[in-house]
Amino acid sequence: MVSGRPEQSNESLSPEGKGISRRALLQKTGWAVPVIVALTIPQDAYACVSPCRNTLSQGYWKNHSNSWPVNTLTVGGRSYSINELIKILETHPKKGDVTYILAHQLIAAKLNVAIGCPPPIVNGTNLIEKADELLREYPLGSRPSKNVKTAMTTLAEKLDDYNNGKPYN
Amino acid sequence: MGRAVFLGCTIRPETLAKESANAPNSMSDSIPDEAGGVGPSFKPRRRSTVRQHELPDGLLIFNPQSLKAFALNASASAVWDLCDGNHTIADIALELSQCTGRTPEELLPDVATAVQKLLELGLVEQDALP
Repeated sequence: MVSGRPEQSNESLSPEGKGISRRALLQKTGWAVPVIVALTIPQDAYACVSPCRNTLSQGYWKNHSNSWPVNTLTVGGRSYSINELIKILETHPKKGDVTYILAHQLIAAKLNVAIGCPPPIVNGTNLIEKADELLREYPLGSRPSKNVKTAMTTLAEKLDDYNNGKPYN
Repeated sequence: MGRAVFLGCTIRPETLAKESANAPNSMSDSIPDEAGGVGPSFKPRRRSTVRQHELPDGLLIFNPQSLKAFALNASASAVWDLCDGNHTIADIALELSQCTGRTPEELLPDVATAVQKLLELGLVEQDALP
């Protein structure tokens, strides 16, 4: 697990300075019982989030296996090791096999979420979960029918945009 | 808490007010009293993937992996600030005692409970075993 300071959104003070100023505030207000309240944020709220600038393309992940934040990933309901996933990423889709095209983008998207990027959600649907569902039903190399192929291609394009930091909804 | 812009989204004040109204009034209400919680030598570290947004009277923190957001009051925020992997829970209580006029012994249970909650929510991780 990568550790360090979380992203700070208030740039007026350094992270340490903010902590100090907060403790100064506490000096005035006094100690109260710590309260942590869960908030409900509609999943659709992500639609207004600008594309994550920190996502990385499937090409990057293919060539930087040392940077992977996880040792295994599940693709289409099946768990794969890093080496197996690299092989999938290196597999050129034969005759445009859309299952591999989608898997390439799905692997990259999952790695991007694993490094802390918000997942790609459109109209309440997590595109990663959708891709997993499709690949569970139509595994790698299954050469699905035309309609399914179209759905997979559209999804792969959206995930490609997400992975490349472009608007995807 | 006022109007908040978080992750590029504006969170409506009424949403926060509604959530706050439904929320437990204190830590003791929101955290189950579990035996075997974190000890004084536990060193919590904030997860690097968690994002935070300053509020006048606390913090909004967001876990992109679980898609969950939380509002912290000033005391919980002060505890959160010190979850840097260097401070033990006892250290945090000691540090906060210096700006609150309370003794470390008084603060220790509150700090431990807050850290336990942050741990349960996946917002901090253990830096080293006690």
